[in-house]
Amino acid sequence: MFNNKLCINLLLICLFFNVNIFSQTFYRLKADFSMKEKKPDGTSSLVIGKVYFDKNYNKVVYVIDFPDKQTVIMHDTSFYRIEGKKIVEHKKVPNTNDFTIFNLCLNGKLINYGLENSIFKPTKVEKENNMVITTWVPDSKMAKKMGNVMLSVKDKKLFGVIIFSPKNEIIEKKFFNKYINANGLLFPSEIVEIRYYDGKEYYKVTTYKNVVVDEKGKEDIYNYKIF
Amino acid sequence: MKKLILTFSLIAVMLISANASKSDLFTYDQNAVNTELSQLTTLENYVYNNEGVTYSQVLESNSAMAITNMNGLSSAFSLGDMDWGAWAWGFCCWPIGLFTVILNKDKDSNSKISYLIGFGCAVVLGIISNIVSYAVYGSLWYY
Repeated sequence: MFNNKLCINLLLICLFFNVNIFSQTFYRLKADFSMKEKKPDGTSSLVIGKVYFDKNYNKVVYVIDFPDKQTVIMHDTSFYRIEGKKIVEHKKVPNTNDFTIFNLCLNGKLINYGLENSIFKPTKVEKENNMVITTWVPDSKMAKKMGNVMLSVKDKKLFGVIIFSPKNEIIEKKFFNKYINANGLLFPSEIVEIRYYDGKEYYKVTTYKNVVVDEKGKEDIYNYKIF
Repeated sequence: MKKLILTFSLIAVMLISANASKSDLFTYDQNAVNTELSQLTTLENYVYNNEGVTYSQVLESNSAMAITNMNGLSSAFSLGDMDWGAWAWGFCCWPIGLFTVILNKDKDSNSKISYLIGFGCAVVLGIISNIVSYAVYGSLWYY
């Protein structure tokens, strides 16, 4: 009798404080990455290193081994490139950390590519060839600047993203392949991006290996101090 | 009746083609991606087999691995990156700009480069205007 009362009370407390005791929450991620890209300006790029992200610090820290040893940090609207202990480049950039693959995965928002609660609203949902295809339309105020976004979900995992221009031309396609399970976190180990420019396709392939979730310690890297 | 069948079949064909085109959008040519990035993949494998190697070391030891127009994560400064405010400090009043731009920790690399470009423009224009004014003054003095 006492035990039953205790269980009911605990359940009520959990419901009252909205404690989700059944789902796992993740807060940080580390991975080895490799980024290969051919750009429209004719340049090629190969970057290999490790990436660290802690959603509480909101800093994406790339510890790069190739082509040169350096550290790149994306924090709010700042881009820092550090060689040794010296900041060799500091730029103002748009704040994209919330929409990185790391933040979206840790927050369980990758399936909608973070479009939920954004200026985009879902309009059409169609099921076809084992895919659920959703068309997201931008707010009418932004319709002149941004086009639709189409998402396809396969096996309850985000498979493809297609970004359209306001003229309904495809600007970019992204494919999220080879999902791995890292301690319960589903993470795409390969991302293929195709950009369309002047009637040509330009490719970027990013691969992730050795994904570690919720690693303890290493505060100096996850919360890299920039002086 | 024939017209009705034709209309329905046309609608059916249109619906099928519309649907097909939507899922077809979520495809890409994996071979084209592999071919286009093959040189980078070869270099990537070389880097994995020679842990800790940098691109300059690769070029020294294996020039066959060289990739035309190779760059890293950072992008080169372009006119679009110009901070015209910082440029104006360099161009119009460089001593104050030294404090408001160069020694200001809130200013990024692009602002600092813009300031130096502005300062450079002022120096070049100053030299040209001095040469012109000396030439004009000299010719006037001669006559």
